[in-house]
Parts: sequence; structure tokens; C-alpha cells
Amino acid sequence: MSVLLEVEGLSLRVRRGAEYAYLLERVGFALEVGGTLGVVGESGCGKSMLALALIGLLPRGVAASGAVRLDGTDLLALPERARRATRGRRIAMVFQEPMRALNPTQPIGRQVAEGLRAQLGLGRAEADARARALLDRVGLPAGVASPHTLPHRLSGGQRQRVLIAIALACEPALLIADEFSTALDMGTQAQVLALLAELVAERRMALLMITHDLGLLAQVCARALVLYAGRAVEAAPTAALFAARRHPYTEGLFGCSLHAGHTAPGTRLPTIRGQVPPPFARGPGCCFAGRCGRVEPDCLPEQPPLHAAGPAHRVACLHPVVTV
Amino acid sequence: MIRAVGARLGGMALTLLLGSVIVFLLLNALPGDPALVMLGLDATPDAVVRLHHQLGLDLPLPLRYLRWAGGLLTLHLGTSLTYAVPVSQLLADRLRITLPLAGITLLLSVAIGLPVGVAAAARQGRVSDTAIMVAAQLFKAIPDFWGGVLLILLFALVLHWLPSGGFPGWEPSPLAALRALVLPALALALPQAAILARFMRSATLGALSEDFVRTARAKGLGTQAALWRHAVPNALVPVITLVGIQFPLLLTGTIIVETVFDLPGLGRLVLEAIDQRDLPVVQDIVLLLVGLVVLVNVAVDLAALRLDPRLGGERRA
Ligand SMILES: Nc1ncnc2c1ncn2[C@@H]1O[C@H](COP(=O)(O)OP(=O)(O)OP(=O)(O)O)[C@@H](O)[C@H]1O
Ligand SMILES: [Mg+2]
Repeated sequence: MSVLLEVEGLSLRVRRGAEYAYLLERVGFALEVGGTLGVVGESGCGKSMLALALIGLLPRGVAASGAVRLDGTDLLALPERARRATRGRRIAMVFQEPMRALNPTQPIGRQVAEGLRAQLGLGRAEADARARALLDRVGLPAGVASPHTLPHRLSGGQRQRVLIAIALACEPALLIADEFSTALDMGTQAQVLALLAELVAERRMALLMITHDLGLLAQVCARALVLYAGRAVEAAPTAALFAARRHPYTEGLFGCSLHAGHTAPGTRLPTIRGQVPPPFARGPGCCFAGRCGRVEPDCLPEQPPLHAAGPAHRVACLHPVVTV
Repeated sequence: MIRAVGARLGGMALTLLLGSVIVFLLLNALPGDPALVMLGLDATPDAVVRLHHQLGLDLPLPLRYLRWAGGLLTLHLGTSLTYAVPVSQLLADRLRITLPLAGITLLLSVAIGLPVGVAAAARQGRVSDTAIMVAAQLFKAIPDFWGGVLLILLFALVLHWLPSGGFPGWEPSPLAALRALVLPALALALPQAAILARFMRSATLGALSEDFVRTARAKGLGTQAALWRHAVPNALVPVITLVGIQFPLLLTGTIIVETVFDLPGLGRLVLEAIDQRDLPVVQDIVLLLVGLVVLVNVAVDLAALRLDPRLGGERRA
């Protein structure tokens, strides 16, 4: 399998007065063409920031360093014009909140056609026809919604389908889904996700899925990346992770009672005692030390590096969990 | 849309009816006898009674209201007590100044305020944004007449670009008439534009932080395209409503500005008529102003509805 996306030493820095802090610190991973990667971690770990860094829409004041190579080209080194050409076209994104992610004043057909016109340079008629076909494909045929329908006439699930149509319009090679559809009820969520997975597989797109849902992770993603406080603490094939977690944080995240295959869709991450340290309160040592039951004095001076813990399994912990 | 227009026109009729009752009651309860003003303080009681009868002031209030309202409906506006000409003719003359003045002011305030607000929002936090907002704060704080005097000083007395006041009439040269309206319209429009700019800035900033703008950027739209196609149309909805709310202020502003610039418009007429207790004129003008305000607000409502169809009230459960 050829590599599509290669992230290397990606750091995101913010400034407050004379102080600096890192929202992401030297994060690295790779994703093959058509591959699936799940990113998990508690709220505030930097998952959304990672997604925004990949698509190049970081908020003002957040500076990225490192490399984000797509097909060998480092996106971070590109000027904004060239970067923009990749948005929607090579990398697309679907967002969590279906109620707010669509422009309430514009008909859905136009919102789907807009990307086609901007990125593929299609004329109005052709873009409209393609938008119509896309809406059909995502399960919004003529009887259900017309291109002239306004978002407020649609249900949450239907809006989510429009968002899928928008993201898939230019057939990107990589789709990023940030907690996609988690605002929906279980049944609708399952339907929309099934559709997304089907379309991604059909078009051989790579999928980077940010989720809080371990069941979903098991179902959809071949590999998993665990983020904690802006750092990658564990990376492994999903099956291996469900079989044995090495980082105490991942173990806490999965919960002791959880075993591979026994996770129903919709299982939420159990909570761990304490909280993720905010960016400006992160010390030099292991970022999880303050909440870790296995902490030893050598955890404190510096951040443990990622090291191999099995086939394609890497963990950043000096005293990893050993399962019998 | 047709239903929405119908509903608003119905509401407009109702507002006008209520407005006419209130205007009538207020003005007819006002102290000051028009007959005494017309005849002078040393008038004989006999003459006063005769004039009362002639003016219909001896009739009971409800009957007087009905005569007035009926006249309005059939476009018989009565006769001015002081000028002894039909009120309709008086209004038509004065409206030829005040309507263009209000129209130009409205256009100027929107044409200046909205782009400036969007520009400031697009430069949020930068020096140019701060400069724009400080200037807006300043213009907002300047009272209409004061701004007008400053404008006269600058453009008329220093630069000699525009006339300092007076109105040459439309007939000899429409251009000269227009030139006479530029300074008063600017004097009125600048504070309005400042208010609109500040509001448009915050509305645009709000819209820019919405998720759908991020969706637009993720499609590959540039910052400008995302701003103008997605943020601005959404930001316009509340701002347009504000234009409607501000319109009565603009009309009262014309009264002052017409005095400062010596324009024989509606504002001047209403001041004179109040001074003279010229009831028929005052009543009709006030109701006309109410009508204008209602009309502008209906237009504003419909424009907002076009921009944001969700306001139509038909929502999906
Ligand atoms: N514009 C910004 N400037 C500085 N720091 C920010 C900014 N936006 C977010 N952060 C910080 O970045 C950190 C990571 O935020 P992020 O949204 O990526 O978390 P997340 O993992 O996606 O959480 P959630 O699961 O709640 O979505 C948080 O500590 C947050 O406070
Ligand atoms: Mg997030």
C-alpha cells in the first residue's frame, strides 16, 4: 500500500504574552491510500486542532511546524494559494454539528455545487447536475429534498447527508471526520456512518476519523492513534489495541472491563480521575504523570519517547501496562 | 412569500388605524385653541364660536375623528388653517424635498455603513479595524445638526464645493437641487452609517465564527469568497432590521437638518404648523410620518425574509 499522508513532528504552538504552549507536540503518523485511522482522546487533547492543521484552517494565532506530506508534498511549506487548491479537492472534512455546519440562508444544492465550481472550475449547469446526482447518492433523492431546499427544512440526519455530499463532491483522497454525527440520535447516527463508510470504501478514499466512540473505532478504523495533552501516546492497529493496551492512559480510556469485540456501538469513553492539563500548564515530563497510577520518579524529568511495543504498535511510556 | 406580503400589509393597515386614533387623540387633547391663534387674543367670543363652527371644532370628538379619517381614505386632506391651501398641496410641495432627502440619507447610510462594517470585521484586531471603529464612535456621538454645521463650514465655506443651504427648487436644474441636498443628507447619514457600521461589524464577526463559514473554507473557498458569499448574507439579516428601527430617527433628524440647512421640507412645515396650531396640517403630517415608518419597516421585513427564509415561521419540527 502506498502512503497517502505522512505527518511528521507536527507541533502547534500558541503564544500568551511572553509564554508559549503547544496544542500538539511532535505528533507523527502515516495513512495509506484508502486506509482508515481513528484518533481518540479526551476533550481538549488537540484532536480537532490536528484535523484543522491537516486541512490548513487553524485559528489565527496557532502556528504549525513539522511536516504534513500529502503524496510527498509538504502542505505546511505551501503558500496559501496552493494550500487552498488542496482543500475540498484532495482533503475534505465533515463536521460534527449538522445544524450549524450548513449556511441557513442558502439552498443545499448551491452549497454542494459551490465546491465543484470553486475547485473543479465547472460551469453552473454542470455543477448543479453533479450536485443533484450527489444528493441522490447520499440518500436525498428528488422526493425527499430538492437542490432548492433550505437546510432548516431538513432533519439532522438529512443535513449530515448534505455535508457528506459537500465533502465528497470533488472526490478527495482523504476525508477527515471530526466527531461526525455524534450530535445525532443513535439510529440516525448509525445510518449516516454506514453511508459514510460505504462511500469512502467505494471511492478508495482514506479516512481519518476523530471519535469518542470506541465501538465506532472498532467498526470503522483499521488503525488507532491515542492523543493525550497534545502528544501521541499510543499508536496501534485497532485490533491490537482492543487486545492489549500498553499506555496507562489508553487503558484508563478503554476501561478495565472492556474487551475486544464486546463493545457495542455508541459506547462512550469512561472517565478517568482528574483532567487533561490545559496547554499552558503542561510540564516537561510525561504529561499523564499527574493522573497515572503507575507513575515512577523517572517519569517526571522528560517526556518518554514512542517506542515499539509489538508489531506496528508503539507506546510512549516507560512503565507500560503488561497484560498476561 | 405572497402570504407573507399579505400578512404584513394587513398588519400595516392595522398599525395605521391605531396610529390615526392615537395621533388624533393626542393632538386634539393638546392645549391651545387654533381659533384663538388665528384670530388673535382680542377676538370677540362671537367670532371664536363662528370660526369653531367653520372649522368643525364644535362637533363631538368621535365625529371629528370620523370626518378626518374618512377624508384621509378618500384623499380629501382638508385645508390648512394658516396657509388657507389644501393640505394635500402643501404636503406634495414639501415631500418633494423631504422624500429625496430621506431617500438619499438612507442610501448613503447603508452604502457607507455596511461596507465599512464588513471591512472592519475582515481586519479584526488590526490597526485599521481600530481606526475605523474609533471614527465610527466619533460620528455616532456627533449630533446631526452639529455635524451639519461642520459640513457646511468645510464644504461650503472653506472648499466652496456645495451650497451652504437653501433650496433652488427642482425645476430650474435638478442637478442644483440635488447638490443642495448632498450636505444635509451627509450630515444625517454619517451618524446613521456609524451606527450601522458598528452593528454590521459585530454581526459579520458573529457570522464569520459560524461553522458554516468553516465548511465553506473546507470546500476550498478563499477568505474573501467565504466572507461575501456566506458570512455577509447572514450578517445582513439583523442589520437590515436595524435599518428599519433607525428609520424614525432618520425622519426626526430631517426636521432638525431642514432647519439648519434652510430647506423648506416637511420637517420645517411640521414645526411651523405646530407653532400655529394648524391642526389639520399637523395631524396629516404626523400620520404621514407614521405611514412612512410602517412602509419602510414592511419593506425591511420582506427583505430580511428574502435573505433568511427561516424567518417565515414555517419550520420543520
Ligand atoms: N484558537 C485557539 N487558541 C489557543 N488555544 C486553543 C484555540 N482553540 C483551542 N485551543 C486549545 O487547544 C486545545 C485542544 O483543543 P481541541 O479542540 O483540539 O480539543 P479536542 O481534542 O478536539 O476536544 P473535543 O473532544 O472537546 O473536541 C484545548 O486545550 C483548547 O483550549
Ligand atoms: Mg474537537
